[in-house]
Amino acid sequence: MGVLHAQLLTNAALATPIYALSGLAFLLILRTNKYWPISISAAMTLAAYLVYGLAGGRGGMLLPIVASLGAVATLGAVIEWSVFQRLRRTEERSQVQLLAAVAIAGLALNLVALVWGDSPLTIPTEGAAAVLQVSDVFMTGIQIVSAALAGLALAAFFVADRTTRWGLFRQAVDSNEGLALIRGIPVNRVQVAAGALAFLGAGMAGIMMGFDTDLSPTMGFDRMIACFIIAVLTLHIHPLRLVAVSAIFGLLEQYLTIAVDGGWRTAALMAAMAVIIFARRSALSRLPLK
Amino acid sequence: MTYAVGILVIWLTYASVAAGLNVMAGQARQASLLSAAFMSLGAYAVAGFELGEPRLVLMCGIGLALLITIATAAFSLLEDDLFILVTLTVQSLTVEILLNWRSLSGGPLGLILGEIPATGSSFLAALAIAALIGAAAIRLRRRPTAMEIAAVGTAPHWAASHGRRVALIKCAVVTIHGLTAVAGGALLTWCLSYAHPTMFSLDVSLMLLGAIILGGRGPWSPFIGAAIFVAVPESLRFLSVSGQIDGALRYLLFNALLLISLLITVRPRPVQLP
Repeated sequence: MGVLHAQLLTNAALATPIYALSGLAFLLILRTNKYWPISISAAMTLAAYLVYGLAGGRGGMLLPIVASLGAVATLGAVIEWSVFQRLRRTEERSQVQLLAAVAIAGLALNLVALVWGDSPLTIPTEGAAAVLQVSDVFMTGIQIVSAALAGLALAAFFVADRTTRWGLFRQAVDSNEGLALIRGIPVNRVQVAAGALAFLGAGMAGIMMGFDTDLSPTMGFDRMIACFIIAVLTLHIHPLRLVAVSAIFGLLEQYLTIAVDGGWRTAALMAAMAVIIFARRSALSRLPLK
Repeated sequence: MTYAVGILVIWLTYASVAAGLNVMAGQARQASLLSAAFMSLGAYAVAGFELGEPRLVLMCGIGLALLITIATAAFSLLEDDLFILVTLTVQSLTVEILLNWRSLSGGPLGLILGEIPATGSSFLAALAIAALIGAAAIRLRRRPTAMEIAAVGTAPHWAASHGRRVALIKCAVVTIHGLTAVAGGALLTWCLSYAHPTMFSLDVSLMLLGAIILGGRGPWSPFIGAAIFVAVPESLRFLSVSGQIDGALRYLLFNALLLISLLITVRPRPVQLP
């Protein structure tokens, strides 16, 4: 029994940076661009499937990963510029932006199903999936590398957010968009960059999840629920809080995995999402969306 | 059932559900993604009746009561996008339950009923339900109740301060939305003679919402919008694509049409003078 708990703790520890990265992607759009970014599920799904689609070529896995991350980051910027910037200039309420985000998520899901089909697919990892054993606990090389890369990406973001010009602009838009505009900050450009960065982070998380489990068109949507829960419980772009919430969520999810079947696990997370919205409604209604 | 009559039945069904949704999203100004979840309850209740499964009918009844309660609570307690997020979650949760509760709902295989009803009776039933719901929805737009619904949706505090029973009106709006969708789902399953979880996915809820946005502001908007959303994917049949691609392509078009309808119907913010 002790071995089981040790294994679950290890799995949760290795998954924590990936959850934190996807939660950060969600929060980045929520705080900076002021809408509920259900559309980041598109980035997760598309990035993982693009790696699968490109993995057959020469140059190992690096080229497909870089190409797919470049593609989803560009997509994030294009969506931000062509859809959400346009919607923000209208007198409609924030629900219109949310519906647009849901439609984009649905578009990506069905596009993937159209191109690659509904059947589960596996990214060919060759020797990279070697299993390591420490005491009685097992972990794969991919898990360790993914956790390390996600941790590095998180650290790079928080350093950039606190030290660079763009980071300071982003924080200004986060705290008061109107005031930032008056002070001459290029709010639109900051938001387009935030959209691209969020899609990049979500794409990285999607690829890491794709290496660990089978690909399916709904993978991004299922993972988006985790992002949502982490983001709503964190609510601010704060590194310690983000990692702590991600660690607790990762641990609970590990125990949920052994307690219930796969399909019911998704249902339980959805029920949790609805309960969290009701429970945190006063904090959520204070978010300066739109 | 001939192809043309089948398309007409599907159009009338979706238009009926969209007419109920229009009371909520159009008049009360609160978009909802619960239409397909409500439809699934009507569909599986009909399947329970046809297959002699009282437990399934009972669970659908309990599910309907739960859904109306959750939606009313969310409409009363949550604002705009938080309400949509709850409906998005509950809609997806309903499909997950239908997919996983295999002993009751048949799981991913769904439930196959008896014989398909005659073409004429299917069409007449769809026409009767659409006429009934359409007439009620149009009448609701003309009565003073329409003003109350609009006030409750856009300015609930103002409505409460003017003596309007906000909670009761919100409950009534959710119930109208739910019961019309239940009727639509029941009709669809009875006509097609099967019930399947993917018939009631989030894409269908999005399609119905897109139908009333694209249909415009008039009383016939649900019928016009549903016609567009049924006709465009059906035109794919003439491109002779296979079954699975047809399904993914259909839902891809639903989402694309919703996005386009959102982009073309929003109005630029007027310039505010100091």
